[in-house]
Amino acid sequence: MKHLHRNLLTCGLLALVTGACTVTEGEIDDEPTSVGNVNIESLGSEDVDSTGETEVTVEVPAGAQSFALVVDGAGSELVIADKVTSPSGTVYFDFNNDISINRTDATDGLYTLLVPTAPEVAVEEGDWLINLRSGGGTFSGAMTQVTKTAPATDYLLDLNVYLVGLDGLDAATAEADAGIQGVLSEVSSIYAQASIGVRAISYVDITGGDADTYGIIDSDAELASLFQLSPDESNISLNIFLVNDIQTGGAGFSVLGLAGGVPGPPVLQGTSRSGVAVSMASYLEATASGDQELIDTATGELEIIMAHESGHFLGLYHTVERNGLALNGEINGEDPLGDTTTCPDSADSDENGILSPTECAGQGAGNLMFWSPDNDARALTGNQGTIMLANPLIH
Amino acid sequence: MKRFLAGLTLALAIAVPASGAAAPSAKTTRHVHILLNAPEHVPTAAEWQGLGSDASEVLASVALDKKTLVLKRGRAATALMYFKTAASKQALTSIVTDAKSSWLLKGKAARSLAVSYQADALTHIEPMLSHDNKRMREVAIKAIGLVPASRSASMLRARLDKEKNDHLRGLLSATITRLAKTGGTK
Repeated sequence: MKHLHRNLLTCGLLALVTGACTVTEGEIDDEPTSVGNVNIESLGSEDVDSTGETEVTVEVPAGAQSFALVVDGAGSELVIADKVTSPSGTVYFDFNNDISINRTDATDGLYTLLVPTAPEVAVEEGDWLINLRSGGGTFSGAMTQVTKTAPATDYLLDLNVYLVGLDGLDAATAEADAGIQGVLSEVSSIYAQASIGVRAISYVDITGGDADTYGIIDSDAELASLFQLSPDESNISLNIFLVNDIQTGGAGFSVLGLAGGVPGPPVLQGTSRSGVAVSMASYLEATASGDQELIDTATGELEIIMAHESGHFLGLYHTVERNGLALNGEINGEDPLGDTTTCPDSADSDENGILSPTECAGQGAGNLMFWSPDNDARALTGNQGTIMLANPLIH
Repeated sequence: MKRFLAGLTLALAIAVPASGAAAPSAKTTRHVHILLNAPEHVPTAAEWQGLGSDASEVLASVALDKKTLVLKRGRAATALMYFKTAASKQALTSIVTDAKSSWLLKGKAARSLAVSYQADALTHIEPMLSHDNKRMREVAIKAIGLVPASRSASMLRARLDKEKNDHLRGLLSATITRLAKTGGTK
């Protein structure tokens, strides 16, 4: 049972303006659906195997700012683009030849290829050829194309804020809570570097058994189920799920926030990756204690985590990973952007194999997307802003 | 006098938990904090244990520090599961038995105690099962479920008879069933 609390821009108002409103994943049919400047179209289903021979044609109109190919149905199988070729024949990604101008990483379950993830990638009009490959097995993937057909006009990122079983904080109180509103305002200030405003357009209580179950996220499967609790929201909005704690590694170790994907599936609601989850326990306990120093620290951390994870969802990668190398042997170890400072391996002065914020001071640690941002890491570069602005979620 | 000396010995043992070992190095302390501060990174057992046993004293200090955010304290309590040291056991027990500790911190400490000390941890965790706060009961059930012993199953069955929350009843049943499969009802 969910109780919706909306303000300002309701789904109904959005429908008046755009002529369309909510299109959930389950409602996508073969006819394209337009929501503002965004087109959503089912491309049917294709079998995907490990050969990389599954080819999907994505037709991109003139003037398009970005497009995403979302592949659902992989289950536990990994999936990634094997090759991404533009209409003019430029190869922007090639798994086998280490070409990663338009970076993309393998995921299981639901995979999103977003173009562009770097400003060097021209969103050409015409047929883009996307080859897909699995990690080993074969699955039937449901393909959806999301295309941002024109530039943003309002430069806004709208949020649906979900309150999931939190003590002392629900939809009604969050909307009026000076601390929460201050956090959202600061996230908006951070994104203002990219000329993007951020605002909450709805507050949603997750109640009853769902609140009990998802108030503490114990596994990746629970996180995926949590993200699926979003089918009723306006498409042009990002879901932020505020939970008590997230522990997905199996050993009970908390993470402070997680995005549904890097990037997440833009505009599609109710999927296993439709949102961002943020751990609230520190903020709630600090505010309950009344200790101002703790409150300030927790608030700063919450601002960073919310902005950082939303940045992932919009297509921003870590500027550099913790050891300066790729994670899990993948071919990407840093973001594909030319103007983000990449902390070099030589900065590891204590030779512990980790590039710490202290060691990378002045060398990228101040960027919001540093792998371990401290509370002062709030900078965004021009290229990061360009990628965020191109995302279909920015309207 | 004998009791005084015994008490003094115990106090000294707690104050110098690592048999008089030197305080953790600055490098170890720094490294522990780097791992605890990274918001998305889940360090492996090898990463923690690679820091050496004196890392447990740093982790214990963080876990007990009331001026530190609870998620960071909880992360420290979780990491203590990889160190069966006096400092680790003392900190974890202290948190679990402190009536003022939050459910999240107690849950992390209970989990680490259960992993490290198995059935010996149950006595400390059991009172959490009947706490008024449902989250406290939830983390207790999850921690007790990590101990495949007949006593664990007995505790959980006894709680199932009283538990009113549907989510927790489901969790209790699933945990009891899992324990039965892993020999926890023997």
